[in-house]
Amino acid sequence: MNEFVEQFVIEGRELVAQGNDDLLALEEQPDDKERLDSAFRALHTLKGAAGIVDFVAMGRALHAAEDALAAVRSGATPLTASLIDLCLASLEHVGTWIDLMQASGHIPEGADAAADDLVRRFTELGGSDEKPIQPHARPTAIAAGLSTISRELLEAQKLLLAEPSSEGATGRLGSAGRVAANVLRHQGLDTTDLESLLQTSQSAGDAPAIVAAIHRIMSGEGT
Amino acid sequence: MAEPAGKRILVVDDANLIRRFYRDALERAGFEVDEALNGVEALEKVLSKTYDLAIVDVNMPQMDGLTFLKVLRRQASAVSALPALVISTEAAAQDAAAARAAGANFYLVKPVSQERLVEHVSIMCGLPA
Repeated sequence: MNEFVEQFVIEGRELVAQGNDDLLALEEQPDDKERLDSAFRALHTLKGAAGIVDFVAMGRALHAAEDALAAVRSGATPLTASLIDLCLASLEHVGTWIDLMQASGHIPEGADAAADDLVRRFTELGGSDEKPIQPHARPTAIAAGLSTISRELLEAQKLLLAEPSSEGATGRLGSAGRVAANVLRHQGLDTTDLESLLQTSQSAGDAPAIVAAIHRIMSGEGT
Repeated sequence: MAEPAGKRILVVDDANLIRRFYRDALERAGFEVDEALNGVEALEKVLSKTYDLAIVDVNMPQMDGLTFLKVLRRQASAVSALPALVISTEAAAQDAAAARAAGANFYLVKPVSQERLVEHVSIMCGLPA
């Protein structure tokens, strides 16, 4: 495998993961501009990577996905569930292609047909009048309802999660998550979202995701 | 404040008076309270019983509070995620930072009134306001 393909495989996987995360987050909070930008960048960079290794079909599929998200960014089209699904499906194809490239070192057979199919589906999407995804109902004015101690406790959990040491990181993450969820429970707020986030983040050791969730809660944007 | 049914707190402090003071406040508020005199005893307790929160002093013989927390956070089981409130006489900012580095979820400086203690413990245990 030449060094470019090797690099393509490594970076490609990271970008696919990033794009997936962003798209799934957008399904929950469709008006999150940062996520939209990040998803767009992931697709755009992947397209560039495809160009480096002369993977024309992959570039074509990603170009269609990128165009679709660009239209959402500019406000020309709404963000729909079908659009996100199709972007996710494209990334799934890309992930498979990357696996195949790693195994064989060559552009996978059949990629052309799959890419054409994706492009066709993106084109068809343009003609539909599907309704945009609605943001999940948010508990309003959460921040205003937090007591001083609750606020201090949440701030402390953010700091604890930001501790750099890898030693005891799982315990810190778990305990900070428990305390944060308990503070919300104490305030009579719904902790379902935070708790499911905790479970996934905890197994992944993803402290920044929990910090971001606490931050959202404290800035009154809901869970 | 609602009844904290079944919430179990471990008080870790070498000073008898302090433990009694905390126990008195917490039991009157409806918490179940266990005591440990140092980090070694505290570890034995948390490994044999489930707690909702540990209240931990810093300066103790045999094993101090911060060492206890470091060992606790490194445990492979779910006990590593036990919420911990450090209460110490060390007021300097670097001590709060040291407590956090050891894995403390919150840090209070003595003296802590019974009301303030119960308030913090109740929120950290997720009891309704």
